[in-house]
Amino acid sequence: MRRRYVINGQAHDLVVTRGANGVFHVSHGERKFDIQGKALADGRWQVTVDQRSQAVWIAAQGDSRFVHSAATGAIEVEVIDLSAASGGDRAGAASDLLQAPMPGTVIAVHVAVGDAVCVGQPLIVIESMKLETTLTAPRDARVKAVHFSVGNTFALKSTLVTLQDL
Amino acid sequence: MFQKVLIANRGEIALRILRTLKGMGLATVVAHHAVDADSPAVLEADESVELHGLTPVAAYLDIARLVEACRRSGAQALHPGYGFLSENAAFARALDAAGIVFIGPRPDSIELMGDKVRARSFVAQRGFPVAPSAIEDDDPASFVERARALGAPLLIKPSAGGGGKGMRIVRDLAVLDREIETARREGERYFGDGRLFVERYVERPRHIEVQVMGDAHGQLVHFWERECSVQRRFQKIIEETPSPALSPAQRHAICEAAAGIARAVNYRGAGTVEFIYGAGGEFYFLEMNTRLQVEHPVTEMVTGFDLVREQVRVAQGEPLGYTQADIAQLGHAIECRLYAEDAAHDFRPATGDILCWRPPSGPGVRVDAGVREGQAVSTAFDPMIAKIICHGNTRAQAIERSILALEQSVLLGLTTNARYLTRVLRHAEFRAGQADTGMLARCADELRESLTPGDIDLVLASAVLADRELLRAVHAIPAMHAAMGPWRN
Amino acid sequence: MKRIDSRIDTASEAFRRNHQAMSAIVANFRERMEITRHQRPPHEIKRVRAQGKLLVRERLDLLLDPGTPFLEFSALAACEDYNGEVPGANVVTGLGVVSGREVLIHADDSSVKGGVWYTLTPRKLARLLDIALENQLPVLHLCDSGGAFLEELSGVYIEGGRVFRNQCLLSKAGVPQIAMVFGHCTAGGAYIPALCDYSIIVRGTGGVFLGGPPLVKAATGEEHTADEIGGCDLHTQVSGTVDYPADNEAHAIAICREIVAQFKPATKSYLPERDAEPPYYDPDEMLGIVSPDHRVQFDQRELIARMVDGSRFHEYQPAYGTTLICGYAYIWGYRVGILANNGVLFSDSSKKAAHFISLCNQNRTPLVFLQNTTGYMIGRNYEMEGITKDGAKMLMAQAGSEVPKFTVITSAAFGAGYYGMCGRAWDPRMIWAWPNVHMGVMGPDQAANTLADVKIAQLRRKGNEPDADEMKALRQRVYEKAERESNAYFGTSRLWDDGLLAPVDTRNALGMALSAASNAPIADPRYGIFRF
Repeated sequence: MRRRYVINGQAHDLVVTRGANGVFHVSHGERKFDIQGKALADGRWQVTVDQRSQAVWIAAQGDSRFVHSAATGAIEVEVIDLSAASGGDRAGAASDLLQAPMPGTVIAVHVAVGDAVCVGQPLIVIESMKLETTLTAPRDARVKAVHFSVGNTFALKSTLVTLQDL
Repeated sequence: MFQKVLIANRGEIALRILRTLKGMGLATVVAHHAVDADSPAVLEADESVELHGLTPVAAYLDIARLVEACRRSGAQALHPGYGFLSENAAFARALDAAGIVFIGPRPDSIELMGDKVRARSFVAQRGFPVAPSAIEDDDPASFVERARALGAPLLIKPSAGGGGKGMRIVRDLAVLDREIETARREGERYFGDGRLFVERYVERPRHIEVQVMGDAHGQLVHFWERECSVQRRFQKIIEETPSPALSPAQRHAICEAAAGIARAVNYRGAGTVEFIYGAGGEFYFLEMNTRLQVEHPVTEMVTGFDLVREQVRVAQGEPLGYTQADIAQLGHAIECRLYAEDAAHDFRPATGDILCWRPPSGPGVRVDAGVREGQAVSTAFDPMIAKIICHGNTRAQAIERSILALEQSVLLGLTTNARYLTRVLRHAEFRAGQADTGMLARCADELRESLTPGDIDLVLASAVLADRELLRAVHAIPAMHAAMGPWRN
Repeated sequence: MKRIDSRIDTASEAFRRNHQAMSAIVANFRERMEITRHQRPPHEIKRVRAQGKLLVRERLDLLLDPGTPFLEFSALAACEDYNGEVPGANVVTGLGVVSGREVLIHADDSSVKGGVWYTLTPRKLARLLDIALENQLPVLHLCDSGGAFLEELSGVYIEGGRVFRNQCLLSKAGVPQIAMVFGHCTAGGAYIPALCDYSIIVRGTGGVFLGGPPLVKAATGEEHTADEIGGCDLHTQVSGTVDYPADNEAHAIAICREIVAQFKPATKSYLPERDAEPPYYDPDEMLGIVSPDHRVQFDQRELIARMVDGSRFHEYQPAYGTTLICGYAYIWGYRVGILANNGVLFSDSSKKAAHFISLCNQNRTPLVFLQNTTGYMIGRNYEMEGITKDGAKMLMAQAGSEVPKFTVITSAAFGAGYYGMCGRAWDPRMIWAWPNVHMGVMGPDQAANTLADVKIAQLRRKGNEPDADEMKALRQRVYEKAERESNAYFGTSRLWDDGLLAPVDTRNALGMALSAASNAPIADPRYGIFRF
């Protein structure tokens, strides 16, 4: 599997596959090495890298692994799952269509076509069933189109504002 | 005689004091903030009292509540440790008024030495060496002129400051006015006092301090010197004794000067007189700390005395019972301060949970620590985790033992300066005994972390083996496919 | 189980000659594979990159579990059609491992002509989905196609329907499918993600629509961009046609991998019974055993010895029906029943085959057919013995089998022997041919001679004498056409098999196939009427 480990701010991308007899094959860029681990009685791990073994202390917490060996001292390793959502910060990141969450009427429009807006900036205020809602920009963008003006009514999921890249 | 002592401190020093008190057969109470409820000192003490405050630090500074805590617990004496209220004259007086023995010096000694300008003046008047200086208070109008007259390089210091805070070095007199204004503003902002004094700055200064102990009967001895030149951001991280900088004659001169200064104030209890020592062998009084210092263990390791025990005995009114001739330096001791900080990023404090703590052990190794596995380290307090003190027959042996002890110290869960300390111990300048207070800044590049590819492989391998999710995914591949590997037809 | 005693002399002249010739054939095969898979005009690569897309095999590298095998099907589909301009028929299909799960993959290759569908394209996809249905394997679709090739509409029209029908049946059978929309899914292609259980679309480049911008403009006069008609946000937010929006291709693949990890674990109808063991003899020696001339006989036991675990083989009826070898062996730890031709099929070998096939069905042993036959024996005596009905019994047993069947044609496959030994039409779970193979109703020589004989007889009936040169030219023409149409590449181009294999790759291909096939249950066998 693919994994990114960050040590001292430097990213190391690894590919780990299974070998025979508890050995794992690790690919690190052009370099390949075999590793094996064995738990020791005193709580340490004997970690073998290509036949060279050292005893280390390992602790884990959340996305961090802490490793101590006599040679390296304590090193923190941050684990990043490359298979997890890369790109956008949340699944299904910001989109360019601002949709009406309910049918209603436009009571205020704060932007015009061509305006640059930043994330969170109020774009349009709608009223529906006595509720006033301000819709804000989901990301930094430019206003491509405003589809309704003050006083217009619209249906559920109508696209009220369309954004585009800055 | 008192039977019960309250410790108004935390962490390693609270535990260290506690152990000596127990050894003396005294009952112990530890006053603590909730955040320290599970700390080793609190758990080992006979009793504990919870303190409250807007912040954890504020809790340890609450004079009224501490006095109350003593009363309620029946403690007849209080040991303030270092930092917090240990050099607070008002606190000492409040305890006196409440009939509780303050294990420390007299309030007026604290007051005198707490005012850097007064202290300096006092010391100079009695003929002890002080750095050429210009004190603003003497004549505010001519202050800047007098400062300029000292000649570069100069050190601007806030009168109310201490511990290295707020100091500015001026090498070019052209900027002196500007630097003075800045220092004044900072003094007002951080210490509530904009008064300044200016000293001639000693290039490549070394920090030498002398441990003194006086009883209530007029006897005072010194316990020889400590060198604390290895500093980052004006804070000591490695201390040792004896100082490799001093010849026997110089040692004698400095220690006698320190003892003389302490005698001049009729000092009672433990104290440390700090000096700046220059390359030419000149030394100047810097300040006197009227409390037990963090680095006192190195003195204990070479002299064989328990300084906390002596403090308690003096507080109980006992005479010292030993003379200067009874105090010798045997071998060499080095203390390394293990801090929760990131040496790679300007030593910024590190936080996290202590997932694994295995202190070192071995011949000549002493560890003063106040942490527990599972403890959370936050920025609420000073980030010192432990002190690792190593004694050797020679300086070289003490260095080797210190390096080994640091390598064997296992602290996982947050970044520490352990590896940084070993790099300093290995550095040629330190090994040659030539470190000055500017060494760490000057040698920053050489002291940078460098991991070999083999080191990185080992760390990556360990991370993989501890990565349950990764191993689960790797094992999810059916055996035959794993054995076939990346075959393509 | 006893190891096969190999009688091959690797130092002999015949061995060395075979090895040299066969190595050249294999080298040529590997080169053609390399070109088909990777050689693309630079301007096409540039176009793909400019669109912000990855190449199809780059997507597979991110999708498949690292360090796992991938068995590609019909890589050389369309290699002898469409002027060789449509590598692999513009799709990559195969069997691999994703998130620890065996899955089938359909990946459009838009690096040639935008990945449009020729007639062979949906045929290749329908075949993949047939494999999915028969083996109950999930399918991952990596969609990125320009739609039907406008000059092949009629072919695509009919073949395409089968793809969608198979998708529906796969879903009906409870087998999951996931679509990742990297490019366009137009017209019929839009149904691919719509018929999947899960679908993911890449913002900006992905689009799903029954009609694209030009069609919409032509139909209604409306002018919209592809994104506006059926892009990511429209389908993931408004219409609900696609489940997951993705910011980029790597993100889409990552989401797919996570979904696969949630599939319920496969239920296996059989498992490896032993630890795998590589063959005792060197598989490379197969190249010296087989002659490039399919008329030259060799002992298939020697091939078996270089394919199965430990070269161990338990031969059934070793003394009877000796032109067909039957026996048990293990491949990658899976027990298999092997039938391998050592010549023409006779009555006894046909009956032996039928009996052995029944035994394997009874003890749930998958069958492996190693084909090298010129058919069933002909002649009066053989007819009197009942060769026709004995062949029929073999067909009946083979067709009634419920255990998985796998076929590898090693040298020759002519006549009805190809049928009896589980040819394409008889639903082997997977079928492959080696690149040296020749197959057809009859061999090129036979075809040329037979047609010449018929022509000569025809002329003579009309009272004419055949012209020698004309006859020679006729023979030559027929021979060449038959030769061309009987070689392995011709067949693989038309999807008569699931791909060509280099001999040394056969063992791994069978291992993967056996593992994949175990995802489907095995019913009790039931046969039709045996004409006794």
